Amino acid sequence: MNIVKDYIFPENKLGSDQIEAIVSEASGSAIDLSDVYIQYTTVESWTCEDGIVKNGSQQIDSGYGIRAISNEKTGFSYGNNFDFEKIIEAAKLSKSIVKSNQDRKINLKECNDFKKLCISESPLTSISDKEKVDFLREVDNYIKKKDKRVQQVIINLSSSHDSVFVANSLGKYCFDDRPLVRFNVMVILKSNDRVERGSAGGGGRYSYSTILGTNKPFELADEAIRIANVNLDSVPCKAGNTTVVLGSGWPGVLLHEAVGHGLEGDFNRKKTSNFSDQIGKQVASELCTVIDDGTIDNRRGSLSVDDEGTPTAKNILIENGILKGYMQDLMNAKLMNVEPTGNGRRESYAHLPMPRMTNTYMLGGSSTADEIIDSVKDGIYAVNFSGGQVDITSGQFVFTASEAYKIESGKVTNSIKGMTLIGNGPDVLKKVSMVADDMKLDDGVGTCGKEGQSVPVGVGQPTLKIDDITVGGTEV
Amino acid sequence: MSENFGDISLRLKNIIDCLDKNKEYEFHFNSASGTDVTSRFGDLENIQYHNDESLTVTCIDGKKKGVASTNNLSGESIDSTIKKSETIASFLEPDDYQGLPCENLINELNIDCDINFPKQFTTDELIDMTVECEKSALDYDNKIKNSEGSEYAYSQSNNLILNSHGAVGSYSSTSYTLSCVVIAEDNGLKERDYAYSTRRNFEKTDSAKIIGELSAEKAISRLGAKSISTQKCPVILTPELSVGLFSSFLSAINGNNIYKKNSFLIERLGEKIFSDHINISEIPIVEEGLGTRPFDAEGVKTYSKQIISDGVLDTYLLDTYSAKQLNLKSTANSGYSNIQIRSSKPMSENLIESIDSGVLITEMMGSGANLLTGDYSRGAFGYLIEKGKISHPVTNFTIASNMLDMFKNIDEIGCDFYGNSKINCGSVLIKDMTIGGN
Repeated sequence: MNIVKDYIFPENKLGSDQIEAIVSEASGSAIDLSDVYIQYTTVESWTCEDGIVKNGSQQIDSGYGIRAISNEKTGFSYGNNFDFEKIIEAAKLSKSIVKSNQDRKINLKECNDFKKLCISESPLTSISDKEKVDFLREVDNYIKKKDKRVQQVIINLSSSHDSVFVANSLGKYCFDDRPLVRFNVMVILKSNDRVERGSAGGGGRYSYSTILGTNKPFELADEAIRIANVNLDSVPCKAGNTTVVLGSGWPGVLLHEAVGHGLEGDFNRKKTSNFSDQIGKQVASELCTVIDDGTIDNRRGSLSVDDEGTPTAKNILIENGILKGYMQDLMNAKLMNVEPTGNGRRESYAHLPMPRMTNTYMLGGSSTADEIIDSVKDGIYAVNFSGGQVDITSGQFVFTASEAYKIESGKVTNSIKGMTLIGNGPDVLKKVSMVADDMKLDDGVGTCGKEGQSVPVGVGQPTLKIDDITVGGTEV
Repeated sequence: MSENFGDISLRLKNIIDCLDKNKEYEFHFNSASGTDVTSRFGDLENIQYHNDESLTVTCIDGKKKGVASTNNLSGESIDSTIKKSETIASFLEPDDYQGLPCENLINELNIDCDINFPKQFTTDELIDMTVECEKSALDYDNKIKNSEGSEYAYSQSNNLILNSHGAVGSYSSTSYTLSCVVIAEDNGLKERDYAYSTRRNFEKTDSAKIIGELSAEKAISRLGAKSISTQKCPVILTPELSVGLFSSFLSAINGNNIYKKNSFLIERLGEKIFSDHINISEIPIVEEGLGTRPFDAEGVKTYSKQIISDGVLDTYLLDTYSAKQLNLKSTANSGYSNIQIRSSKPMSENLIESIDSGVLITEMMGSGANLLTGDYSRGAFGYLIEKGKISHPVTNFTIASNMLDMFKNIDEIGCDFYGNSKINCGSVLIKDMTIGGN
């Protein structure tokens, strides 16, 4: 059931007449586009720490956001009091960006021409709270039995369910339901005088049953212990320029930062991106094909429709090194005279939509991971990152590795600590000299931040080699 | 000021008085409203009206803590949120350290601590202000070729807490931010930079002209950045970046990281963490202070304290739970208020003059501060210093060290105090860090 349709609307006496009146109120002859977004979200989180399932919380948030766009101007207001008169007031505020405006009556029609990529039901109520608590205990016991050096274990199980409704002045409306589950394990190991952390997690748009009751949580627990263990033996990292091999899967976060953000439509309309006016040009090595795909079933970054009601799509951003297109929402697509790409996303009803990534990845190539490692005389193999950031104007990006190794004469040797990669997105992409055939998506842990708004995303890539990139560390 | 809370304090007080006396309850109500206006290329781009409220209910039942929140404040919704917190608690496992604070509780509504300065502007006034701010950046130099605009953000917040041990407290505050982001271009290379001013009182924000010009000056000064060779050398962090370093320190002494052993500063009370000349204190009530608050997030009355005395760690920052875990008392630090960083050495206005060869860091990127090990490795942008003077901008390098070494290696703190943060400090000179470049 969609809670907006089945609860918010009847509870507040909002029928199709009222919704049409609200959209019409935010529209007019001087308004290019207006929309109404109504959302009801429940989020829960359970945490096991010190062997006790000690924290549990649930949040309910509901409200509406009304937007009116005139050329490059946007007016926006939101609220959580669903009284019809209050919503009409909000619509008037949003429309106040234009001084003179003739009324327009909008007739709405439901639009269902998109494929449902996940279940509609809420994960929160799919199993009992007791089962969630028992599950966390089980994983905690497993980790403590597995390694005696464990000093701290924090396990978190969380999920959310989002019911949304969006209607716009193009005369379309739709409902969507978005479940999201996330599981995370963090362990701290102590050996002699050193302590190191390892963490692993996974999730997606499905119910708890997709991971609880499977082997996956225990595999992730093993992975967290493995990473902490690797870091216990790590040696300081040498600073300077070197060859870096990135592992498959989560290291795709580098692609997300280094390239993805620079290809978002808003930055390119305003020409503030390093990739502005580069369509059709070579922006990466010809081994690179980069895709943003919001249509993969059950993935964390996927959506059946974006937050403006546009069905998501599989968009080719870079093909064999040539820039093909940007990611767009309705406003930027119109201003740039291109089609929307299903990338209009927002954190919640209280935030404005903007072009955002969904699942962004690079296609596999023809080398093997072994061949790539073999080819490096002296370099670094980075397999896990803890986070990164980009300046989309200069293209400068920074990444911190949470698991990395030296490569010496074609062999992976010591693990290294405190390694930071720094580079320029377009430069680095041109230095991609080998791409393996092992493309992998991440386990479903990514959250992307832009202008203060967080949205869940996916990343992925094959093993690949970058010739000559700057690495930071404490050794000279 | 009471109109900011309406009848909500009375309603919640009546509800909490009637709840099960065998359980502990805490109600936290927050509301905020405000306006954001952005202008770009001389015209309004974006106007946003904010209006949020939420209620968070904590129930502790036999050492088991459940939390539930809602933004629907109807009687029915509040009841079901309380029930949900009770249900969650009932499924959890007992934790001996759980419990709400019952000492030093706040007992005053609508506390006035000089941080609430509501001021109404018309939309046209706000558009004019942001247009002027951006224009002073665009007019500054013809190298300013593009703009992300100037933004005015205003918010008025109301904060109310009640617990079943008798805590009752509320206060209101305002915040005004004016900012400008522009892009400088030369020889096909682009650099973005920004300037902003955040204050409790609008009258104290920097003028639109100053902010616009500063953003332009900063963006232009980045043009023509060169690479830098790998080396060890002294670095100066701008006041803004020093704030970031000290906020990592404050996280590392947060009781919740200490008891979880997730900090490089565990078991360090009474030890020397910084060089002798450094003193750090917390001052909860500062007129117009960005961190000012009469009580912490649990309703415990805040008080002034020394955190670092002559380099020595005096206290961790403890809330009720972490204090119990560590067998200590709450320091009213469920969160922290205004933090002051001072040196007992003379605090100079210009730290650059004393450097023969080093780097002034003006921007850091990435999340390379490891709280568990203290390892620090971040991407940076800055300016090469030669013989006490700025020589040229440098880019594409990293700076690395361990935070313990960085803290001990702080040789000097400047008196160019940063006004946009609740952490008040000047530039910091660290005598030795590793630069990773060519």
